[in-house]
Amino acid sequence: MSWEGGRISSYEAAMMIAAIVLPTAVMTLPPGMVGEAVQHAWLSAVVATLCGLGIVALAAAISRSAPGITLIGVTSRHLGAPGRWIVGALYTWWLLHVNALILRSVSEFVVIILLPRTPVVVVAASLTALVLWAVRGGIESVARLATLTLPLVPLSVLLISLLSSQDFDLGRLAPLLPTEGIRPILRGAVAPASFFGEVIIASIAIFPFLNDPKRMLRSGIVGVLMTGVSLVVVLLVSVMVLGPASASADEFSFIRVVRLVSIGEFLQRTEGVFAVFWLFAMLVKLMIWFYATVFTGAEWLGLKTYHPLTIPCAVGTVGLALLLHRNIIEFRAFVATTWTPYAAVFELVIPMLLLLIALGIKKARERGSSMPRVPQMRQAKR
Amino acid sequence: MGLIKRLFGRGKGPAPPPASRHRPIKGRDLLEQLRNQFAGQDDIRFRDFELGGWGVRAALVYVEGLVDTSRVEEGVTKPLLRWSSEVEAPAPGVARRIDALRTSALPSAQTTVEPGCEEAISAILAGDVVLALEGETRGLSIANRGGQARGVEDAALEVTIRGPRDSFTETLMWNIALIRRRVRDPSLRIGLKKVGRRSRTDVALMYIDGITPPGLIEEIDRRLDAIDIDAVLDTGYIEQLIEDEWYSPFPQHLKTERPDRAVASLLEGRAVLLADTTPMALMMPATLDAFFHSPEDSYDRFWPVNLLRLVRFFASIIGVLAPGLYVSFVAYHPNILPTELALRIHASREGVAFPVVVEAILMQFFLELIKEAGLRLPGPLGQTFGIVGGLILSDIGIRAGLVSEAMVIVVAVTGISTFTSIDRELGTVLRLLGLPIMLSASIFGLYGLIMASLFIGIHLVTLRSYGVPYFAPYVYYDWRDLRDTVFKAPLGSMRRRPSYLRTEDVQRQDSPGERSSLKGPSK
Repeated sequence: MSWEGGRISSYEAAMMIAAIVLPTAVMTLPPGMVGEAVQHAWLSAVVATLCGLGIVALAAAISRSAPGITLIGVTSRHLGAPGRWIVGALYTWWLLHVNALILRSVSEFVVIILLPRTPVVVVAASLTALVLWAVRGGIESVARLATLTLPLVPLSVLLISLLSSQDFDLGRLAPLLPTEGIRPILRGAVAPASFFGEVIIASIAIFPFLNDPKRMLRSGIVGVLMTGVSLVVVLLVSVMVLGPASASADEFSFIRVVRLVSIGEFLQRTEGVFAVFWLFAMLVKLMIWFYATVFTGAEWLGLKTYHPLTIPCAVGTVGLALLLHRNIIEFRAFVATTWTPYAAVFELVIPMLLLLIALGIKKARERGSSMPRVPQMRQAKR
Repeated sequence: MGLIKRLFGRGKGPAPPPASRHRPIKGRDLLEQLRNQFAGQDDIRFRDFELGGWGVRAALVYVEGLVDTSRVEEGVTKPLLRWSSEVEAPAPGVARRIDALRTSALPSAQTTVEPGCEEAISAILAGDVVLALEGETRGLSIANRGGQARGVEDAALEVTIRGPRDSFTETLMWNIALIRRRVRDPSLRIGLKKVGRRSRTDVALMYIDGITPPGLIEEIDRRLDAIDIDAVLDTGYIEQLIEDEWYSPFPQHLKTERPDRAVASLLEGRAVLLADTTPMALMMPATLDAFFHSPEDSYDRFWPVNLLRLVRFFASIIGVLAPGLYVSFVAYHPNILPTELALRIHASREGVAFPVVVEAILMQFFLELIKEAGLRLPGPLGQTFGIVGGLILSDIGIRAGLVSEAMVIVVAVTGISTFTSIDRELGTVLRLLGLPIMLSASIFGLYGLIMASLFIGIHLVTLRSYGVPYFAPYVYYDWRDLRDTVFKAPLGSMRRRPSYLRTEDVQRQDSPGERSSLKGPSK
């Protein structure tokens, strides 16, 4: 059906969808959310999860309307070549940009936690090399890596929560339900909602390759719920252990929770292990995004395979990651202000319009009106 | 990898036509052709005689050493001479002489009419006796293979405590018989092929019709047919020529010298490939997991097996990661270790002249050195050398300040760990992979270790052996396959063959009905 020839199972798809958001959700989102909604941050997480479910349903609806065809494929089916050119270019740029942002944040994390005196460019380049190596093996390799590494993060989050239960201070959660109105909660939900919206790329890099298209929605819901539950747990635990003030102050607040965990005398400094698991998951996330980028780029340019794009795209990603923001403060400012409306265009507006057009065409056809025949996208065999 | 491939590509030119390899053979009849062909080859015997009743000159041609000479005299020469002196009928037409001899003169069960000189020659070289008659272009080959061959002996490489002891030997037909004995199933199929331009080695592909997916057999056949090489001296040649990924460090075929293991994998749905003159069978497709399964695992109850498999599994992880972990902990993250241990290691490194990587490489080199030298020295001497050399070298090395005590422990543990591997080759590969991981860890610390291991990990999940993911069943296919992986479930609960092998017949056992007719004492 597609150039890829790879097929993924619904379980693999669920893990990949979880991998799109979960690593970021666990590590980078909580401080900002606690900063906005204080002890009600977990309610913001619930709101954001609902948004994520909505977006994944949107992605599934688009993919279900044309099984085996990506978002760009659907565009070119309904809007023809000009549509493909415009939407393809926009999405290629957006994906490349997000790729760079993810790469930047992982690299910063690695530099802060593991390699304090190493330049970011070295880390960014080596991570990208690894991603290239994985994407070369096609979507199936990425899917298998996702099933192997992603579950480690939610499992270790649960384990750490159990182990740190001795430090829980339930009083820090009080009052449990919002007293000052719902606005802080919604404000806290804005950033995570835009991150949950990233699951839209399921309709680019995951759903078209599913071996059982009927299970799209199910695996999407499983993936998003996994992410949501992990986020809620992380927020509750960080607030209970650290208190809202320090939970919002630290760059990676959950790492601090992990640092406090110790079992007896010998099992200390578990944060290294957690950091490694998180790095695995983050790399899988990066692979999925990178794959989506090169695949979209190839579709946009009408190439037969995405392989020629991988190396230019990798170079571009590293360059953008380093050049877009001078330092992490600027980076965080961008995420806090510009990111949400920018992302909303690609996560919600364009896909929604596409779906409406697709539904409109379908309806018109059902009425038997004299719509012109929709040109089929040229299918290249692998 | 693409670049490497382009540099050292398979470079398959068009194969020369096979007929041009031998000079044409001159001669009026088979007898003369054989004499011309084998002139000056003194191990080829021509036993000349005359078929008295017919008055036809004939010869038995065979290779001395490949046939059982006394059986040839008893079973071929004697009956032929007796029959021909007694026979009174006139010689039949040239065309029917061979058939007459075959049907009435020779007691041997395995006689074949060879239609021409080429066939007769290859029969002689394979160890048959060929009867050539004057004025006749066809020959009659009589199987009487014998000569010296090693018998079936105890398995030397894959030693187990429980289970059958016999192992494959160099004689293909015996090996096939060892397998056949264990599966009295008519659907056990054996396809024979000749591989190797000059060696013309017999290769047998065995599978069970109805279990092994037919696509697999076609694929193996296709790859075997593509082999065009002078000689196949061991299944190792075939293995290297038909594997999926030439440049992967991981072995992509399972190997065994034990017929019971070969049969077990036949029944799982794999194919088994045997070659003449090789006491090692290849089994395909291979999965990484299967390399950790000893044949004994199937014979013992599952509790002890689980312990042993866990040991083997962790040993291989240690074998790959231990040097890298040690290097990164010592050089970059001493704070991850418990404080006292970190201090002890630091103290033991006091006075060591080299950075920790150099120390590690040096020690690894010592280990390989002792292992290799011990292997080359004959028998008991090798063992003594291993122990004495290892002890002395490491002790003196520590005292001379070349290495630290902790490093000796790390490298020794690495070495011992990789020796637990069922497959010797995989053990060596694991130690080999430890090197780049260690180097990367010495540059980037723990981060480098993770990057290098992920690099290998990505290769592992991408690799396929005959279309089967090498890392199956850990990459999800079917949860039920996990019953025989690092963990083993009770034998009775493993009702299905591994689903990732895509077998035709899935069911291994039916669900047992009443498991016991004995009830507890009723009161």
